Amino acid sequence: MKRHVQLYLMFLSKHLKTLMVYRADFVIGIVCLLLSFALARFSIWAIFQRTQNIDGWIKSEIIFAYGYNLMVSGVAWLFFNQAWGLRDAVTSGGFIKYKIRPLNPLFHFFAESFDIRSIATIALGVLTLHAAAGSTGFHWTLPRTGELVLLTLMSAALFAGMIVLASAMAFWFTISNPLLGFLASIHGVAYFPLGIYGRMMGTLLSTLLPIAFVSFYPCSILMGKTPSVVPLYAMLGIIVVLWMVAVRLWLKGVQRYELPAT
Amino acid sequence: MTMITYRWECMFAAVSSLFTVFFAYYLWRAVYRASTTLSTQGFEVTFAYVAISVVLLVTFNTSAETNISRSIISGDVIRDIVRPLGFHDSQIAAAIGTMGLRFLLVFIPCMTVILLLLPHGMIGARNVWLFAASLSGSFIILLHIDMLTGLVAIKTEAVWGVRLAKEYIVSVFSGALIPLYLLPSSLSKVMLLLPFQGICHTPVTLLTSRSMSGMEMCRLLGMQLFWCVVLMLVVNRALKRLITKIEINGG
Repeated sequence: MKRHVQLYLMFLSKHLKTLMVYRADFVIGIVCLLLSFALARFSIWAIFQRTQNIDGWIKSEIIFAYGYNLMVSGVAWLFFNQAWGLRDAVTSGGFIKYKIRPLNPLFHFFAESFDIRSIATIALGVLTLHAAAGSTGFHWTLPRTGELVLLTLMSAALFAGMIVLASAMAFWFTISNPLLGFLASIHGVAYFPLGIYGRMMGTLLSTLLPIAFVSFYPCSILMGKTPSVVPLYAMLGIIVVLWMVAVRLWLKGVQRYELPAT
Repeated sequence: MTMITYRWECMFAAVSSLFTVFFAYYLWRAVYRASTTLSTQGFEVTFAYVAISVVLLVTFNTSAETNISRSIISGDVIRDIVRPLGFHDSQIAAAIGTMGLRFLLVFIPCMTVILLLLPHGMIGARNVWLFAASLSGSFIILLHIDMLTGLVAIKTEAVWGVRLAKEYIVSVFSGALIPLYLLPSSLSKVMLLLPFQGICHTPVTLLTSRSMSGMEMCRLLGMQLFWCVVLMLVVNRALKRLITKIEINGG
């Protein structure tokens, strides 16, 4: 464990040096991130110009869930953004270096990149959530803040498990990137209440595609909309199963990986 | 040919678009149910507007910005320059190939599902013809905005960020996220003057509006044509300027 932490820090410092070369990309990336945030907030504002609530959730509650959603995606992409590069590494043959080195290839691959822009996403999420919290059932006491941090980490673990599982497809098909795009886009609307999607879609989003556990259920708990802790246990179970499947599939993919013919 | 190699991507884009169509359906149904200012009859039009806009953006997404920036940064652009077909024309030809496959695998199945979700008789034959006529304009505008994005990305060396910003700007200003007619009137007036409205607002309005006057139709199509011409001229000029200044390192 200690060795892996040391290695991770070493990879991180190497990656930060690389980022210094592309300073303009980083700065413009952050500006564009702020622009996308402003446009997303604008769309929530425009929807609430026409309605008072969505399935019983008022504007500040939706904004709270949006802020939470940003924090979760920020934490998950911070460590697993490299998933977008797996398909190219596999098809170009560049992945072979991860197979021959004396390191767990999954750890090695994801440790090599650290999406520093996601820190801005997390900061925007915290600010948004903080601004909206006053009009919701959430209070900034120590136990509730601890609950918020714990739930955010659990949601991020769940979302990251989905990212790793989707990226593993790169070893079999070329659809891993569209699959990641699909995950990012459904995660982008995960802050709306589950009740609007009807029974069939709601069940799908709570089971096979458990995106409801990334934002809806934890936010319902945080805002005191549900007294039940069942979603919390279900979330824990899903995280364990998802990661077991994702890691197994990923390592199986590594095993069958061969250099593409040139 | 490249797109056929990546046909699974195309098919997955269709599945992904269908999910987005269903999300739009449920979200706008919830908004209309809870609203006291919106009439429930308007839900079908709003759903058709948002869902078809999503399908148009996916079908006409040719990743031209990535192709252009990659080919210039890697130096592959030199192969296109020495060919008898101009760089601008070759990019358009490649984009038409990509769009053709997406049209078959994404547009047709998704539009079938959307039309099945809409009430019978909502769309008239005249609307279908007008919609079809405006599709090429929609494709040309989006393609040239993508090309301009690619050129900006090269100048700023920020392909990821610029592309992300373009996607958000296009989805908001074209009406794909929130229909332009649901925005405050001062804001929608400005948006209706920009080129983005020609991507989704024009074709979808021509498809869903049965009471539109001939004058209004001509205005919408004329505006779309105007932006097609302006963007084609701007991109053509910008590409020519860039190519005369380009420096490629040997390797």
